Amino acid sequence: MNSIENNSDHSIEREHLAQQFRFMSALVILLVVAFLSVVVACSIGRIEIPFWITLKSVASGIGLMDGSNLNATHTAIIFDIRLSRVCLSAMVGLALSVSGAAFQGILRNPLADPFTIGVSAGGAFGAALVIFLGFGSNSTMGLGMVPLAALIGALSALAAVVSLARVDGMLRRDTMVLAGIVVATFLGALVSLLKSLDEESVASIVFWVMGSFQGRGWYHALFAFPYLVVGLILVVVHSREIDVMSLGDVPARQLGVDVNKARLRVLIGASLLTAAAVSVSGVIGFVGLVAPHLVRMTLGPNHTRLFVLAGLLGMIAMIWSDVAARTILPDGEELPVGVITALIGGPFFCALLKSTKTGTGFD
Amino acid sequence: MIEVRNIFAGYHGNDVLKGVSFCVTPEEMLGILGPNGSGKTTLIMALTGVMPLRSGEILLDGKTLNTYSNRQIAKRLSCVPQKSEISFHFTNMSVVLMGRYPYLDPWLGYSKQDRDAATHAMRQTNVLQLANRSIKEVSGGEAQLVTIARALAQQTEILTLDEATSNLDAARKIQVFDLLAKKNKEGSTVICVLHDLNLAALYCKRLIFLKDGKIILDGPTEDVFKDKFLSDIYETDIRVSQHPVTGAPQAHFVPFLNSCADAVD
Repeated sequence: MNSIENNSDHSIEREHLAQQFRFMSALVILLVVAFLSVVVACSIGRIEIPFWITLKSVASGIGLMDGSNLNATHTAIIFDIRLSRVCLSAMVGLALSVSGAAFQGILRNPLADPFTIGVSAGGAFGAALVIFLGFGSNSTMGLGMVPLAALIGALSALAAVVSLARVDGMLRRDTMVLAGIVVATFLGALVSLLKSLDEESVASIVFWVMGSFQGRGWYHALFAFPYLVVGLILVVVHSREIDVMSLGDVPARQLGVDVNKARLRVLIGASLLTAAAVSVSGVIGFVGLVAPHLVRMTLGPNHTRLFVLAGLLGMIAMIWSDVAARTILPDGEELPVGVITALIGGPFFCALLKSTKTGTGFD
Repeated sequence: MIEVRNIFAGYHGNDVLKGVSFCVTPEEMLGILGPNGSGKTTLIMALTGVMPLRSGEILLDGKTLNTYSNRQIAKRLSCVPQKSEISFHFTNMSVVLMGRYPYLDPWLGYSKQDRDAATHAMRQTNVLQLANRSIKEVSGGEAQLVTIARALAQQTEILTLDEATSNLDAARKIQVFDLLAKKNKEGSTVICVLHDLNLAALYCKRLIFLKDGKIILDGPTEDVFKDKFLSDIYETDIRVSQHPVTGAPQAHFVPFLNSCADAVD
């Protein structure tokens, strides 16, 4: 009997180590790919810069080597234009996919993401309203009112959705997804109304509705950074509570989870992440849906790991989507990056659903 | 030691429990019985601190339940729910590890000690071989045994079960209740809600009958498990005989012989 017991103990520990190993391997691979993506993305553009020059510039930029023999034009392009934009797209990709994973986990709904929960639409409406009212070009610190308005819009949309889904002081998660879709559709209609009322601002509103990193720089990254950090902390520290809450509210409370507190904090954290992303880039769909689902299907639903890996995957996806958005059209014309993520993400998501026997990992 | 003092509780302002009082002393094995809708599940939810009381109070070791945090309660009292649902493809091992949440150090995650407790619990309910499979890919009965293992991994002195064995076949029912009886002998308090009268009479030393949110009968099994009491409570003709091996009282339902179509289940 004893030997059997020891054997199964060993198999439990072996599986535990195997899981750790799979996670660490995925983590290392994604980190390397993310770093290479940053460097390669900085090399690509109208002026091609060789990969190793970019690598040297980045290395000298962070003080790893002497950059005095580098071409000043190249370093200027890399640091003043491309690196800021690449870093910003990485931040937005991270924010969107972590908030998507958090919304899906806390609402236990495979379709929940920043977009379907109405938070993105709130941000887009805030931005569109400010552009419509003509404050779009007033700039403080080169930033303008638009990001702030997007942030306020996103958080107001969350407040509206939460108050709609609150019955008897309890937050109903199914009602919340429905309320999110209603709010998103309503705000989308308002944005269309603003567009049709003002022909002049159509182009800039469209870039908010479809998302874009055009003309964004370090100021935007700096603006979004604090919200990103606070949002990430709020979400990630509750990853184990989200795991337990997948059993349902009552069992989770019987296991010692303060369900209402955890859910509220995760919702606020995920909305801050979304708001940070929308405020600097507009509405970008599908990243918050595809990245978490892909990780969940390959490495399981454990939320601690999910947040780390889906975040990195979102970063990489967004860096490359933005590279595509700014290089696909000739003569420096840009596509909204949301067009790229939707065009690639939509079919990819469908293929994902069809290719695995477990579906989305939800039932 | 649990003291329930005249509690009223329910949903949307309608009381399901209407003045329930009883005490559970340590090392008791208590069965809670009663017709559908009599308030058994609500009572378990009140005991585990997840159902707010409209009035009355529940004392755990002399202190009212409200003064404990969710985590503190979860270290003293575990619950196996009637039905478990889960939204993701967690492995059975991960699900049982969730029983260790009350002990979890937020910075370190689940430790070797936690995995050992989970392994031990899964071995006790005979599901260790399913540890690395998804909870969504095992049968309903197996999933229920995993849930029971989750509650055992909590290592609480009081174990509550709400219809925990209803979906299990006869062999597994007996296996689970043998395990509960063993836990009880080793010092655990067991409080189980059941529909199966005979299973209750076979294992529980004391029975409480709830009806319409009130306790209508409470006492040692051999005193309360009687033809008349049972027939009155369930509004069905019930006869009691002795179990051929253990001597425990066992109930038999009598169909209306004159109109067989109305046979009662």
